[in-house]
Amino acid sequence: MDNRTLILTIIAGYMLICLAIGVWAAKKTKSSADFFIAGKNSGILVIGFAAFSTVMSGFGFIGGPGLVYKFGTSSFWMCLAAVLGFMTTAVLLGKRFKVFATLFDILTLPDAVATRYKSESCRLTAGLVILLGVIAYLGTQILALGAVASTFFDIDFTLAAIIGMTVVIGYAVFGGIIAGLYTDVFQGAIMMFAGVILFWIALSTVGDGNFFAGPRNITEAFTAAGQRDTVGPWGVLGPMACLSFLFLFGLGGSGQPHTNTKLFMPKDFVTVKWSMALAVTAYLLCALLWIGVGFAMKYLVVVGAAEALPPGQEDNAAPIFLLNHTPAWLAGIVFSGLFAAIMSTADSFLNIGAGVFVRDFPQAILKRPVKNELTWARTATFLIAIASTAFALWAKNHGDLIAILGMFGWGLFAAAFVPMVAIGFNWKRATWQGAVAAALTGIVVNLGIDLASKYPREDPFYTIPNGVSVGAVALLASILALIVVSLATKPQELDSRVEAAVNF
Amino acid sequence: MNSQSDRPYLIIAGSIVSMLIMVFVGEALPIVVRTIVFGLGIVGIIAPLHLENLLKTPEAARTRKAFVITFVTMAVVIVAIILLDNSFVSGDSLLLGMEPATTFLVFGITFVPFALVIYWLLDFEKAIVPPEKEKRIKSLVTEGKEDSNG
Repeated sequence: MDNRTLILTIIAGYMLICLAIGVWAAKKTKSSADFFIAGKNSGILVIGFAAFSTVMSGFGFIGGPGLVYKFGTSSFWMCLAAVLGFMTTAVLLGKRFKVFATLFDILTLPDAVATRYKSESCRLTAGLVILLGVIAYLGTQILALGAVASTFFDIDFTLAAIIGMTVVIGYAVFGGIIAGLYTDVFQGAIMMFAGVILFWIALSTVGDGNFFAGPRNITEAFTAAGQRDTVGPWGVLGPMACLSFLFLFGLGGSGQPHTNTKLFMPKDFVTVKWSMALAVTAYLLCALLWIGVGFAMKYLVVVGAAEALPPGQEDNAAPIFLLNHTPAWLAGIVFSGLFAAIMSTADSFLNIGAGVFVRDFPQAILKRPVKNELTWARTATFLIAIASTAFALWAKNHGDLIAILGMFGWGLFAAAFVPMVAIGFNWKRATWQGAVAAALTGIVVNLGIDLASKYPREDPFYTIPNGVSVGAVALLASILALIVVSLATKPQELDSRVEAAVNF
Repeated sequence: MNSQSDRPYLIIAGSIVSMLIMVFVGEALPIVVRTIVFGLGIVGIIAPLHLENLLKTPEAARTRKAFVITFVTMAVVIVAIILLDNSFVSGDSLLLGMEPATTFLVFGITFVPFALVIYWLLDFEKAIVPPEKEKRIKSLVTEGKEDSNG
């Protein structure tokens, strides 16, 4: 068996295991509560792995090494900040969401928002934000899926994207979040293994067989090549940009609905406690791939041992390193890890997107739930998957558009849900007007500045000074909007159980 | 308005305003000043949010102190990175194979927040969810069921 066949066989085996989990989970999914939040009865391992593998998406596993290759240590401020991000999510929302899920009939994040603020406007706003973000994020995941498969296995891009999404549909439609959670455990284990072993191989390659000599060799080679900035603390993008990443990823993580909704699912507080600690640790191990592989690939280019990647193709850093510097069996497992990272995020987005259509929009607009919620949830998951695949394939020829949407996704969720949820669920004085104002500010600032900084292409209308991230500015503006508008509006009378949950 | 419970959010608002000024002031202030103010602003936003979620009981005092020390250390690490980078000259000695500021980034930004994980695990029942709070939730669930039946 040649190397390529071996790698493809391992990946095919991985896809089959995901489908098998889907079939098993479909038998366990008997209600919409099972479909959306796994009956609020999940354990430490499941919640811990699901929370981290949902965050470590295709962006982290494929885009991360590419960012290190292109911008050096600048991107460390994103991946290392996630440790703070996970703990912020755990401290701000861990116990709070468990309490809300215990006291109320909550299946989706907008459900919780509507309960907290006693406002259907809040539910509608949260639903719209999720839908916008899901389209952006899912499109990016599908593009990443297609790009990796088509580039390295000589499969047509469209075919690669369709095969990958068919597997996701296979387990997400029938198995719902139960399938998503259990595939996340399997996928998370692969990702952790890939992160640790590739970090070791990357630094050993750079250190000429000596792992511990790796960092020094990198620093000296880059400095000698006149690229000191790449290995300095701020990388190529500079200090203000890096600190804005620290803020956006350190606090913005608590506004990501695909992670937050996992916090409705623990069976008890012991699960909350241990699962979040597990998620942070697992994420950190995975982030080693982000850090190690990008630098190793760039180092090989700097010392003349590899060809430079063409501009715009920096995302190929990880796959090229895998194909050229690891044994085929390991490359197969790690490539499965790459697909796992993409698919575990995609299935979470399908699930929360379906929740908006089946649960939140009918409640907000019709003031009643739909009948046969489970059937409609499956239908909505299928339709969102089809629509987003079609959208991603259409957008493939508009690279800039999907890039805007991809960055827009994280920043939008952060700017809308950090104030509305991470702060609003802790601060009794936050009002529904403040929450809606914060979400709208997040959307307008995010989209407005992002578009203004890219168009017209020849002479963009406006750029934030010093490379500061648009998402960070939007997050600052939206939190300020929540505080100012809440203090300026009449305090809300809270239901006694909501008050108990907010003060818990 | 309960000014006591709103105070942390006013500190957060103040931090945000100072950070936005540092972003938009451009080159009018030296980069060292802008980065220090922006970096401290990050801690000024995140630290109060964490502390608001720890109980204010005597049993939780040790955890609160540990969180405060961690966030102060975080601020020191950020300022140290800024100052070390500012004073580094090519040819200066490396620390663990990296420029000293990069070493602070890799280990400081990662492992200082990781201390929060340790406190979270050690003091969860003292400072986050003590047993009496769990009992309170159970009674609220019972009350809710009685309300819906009644």
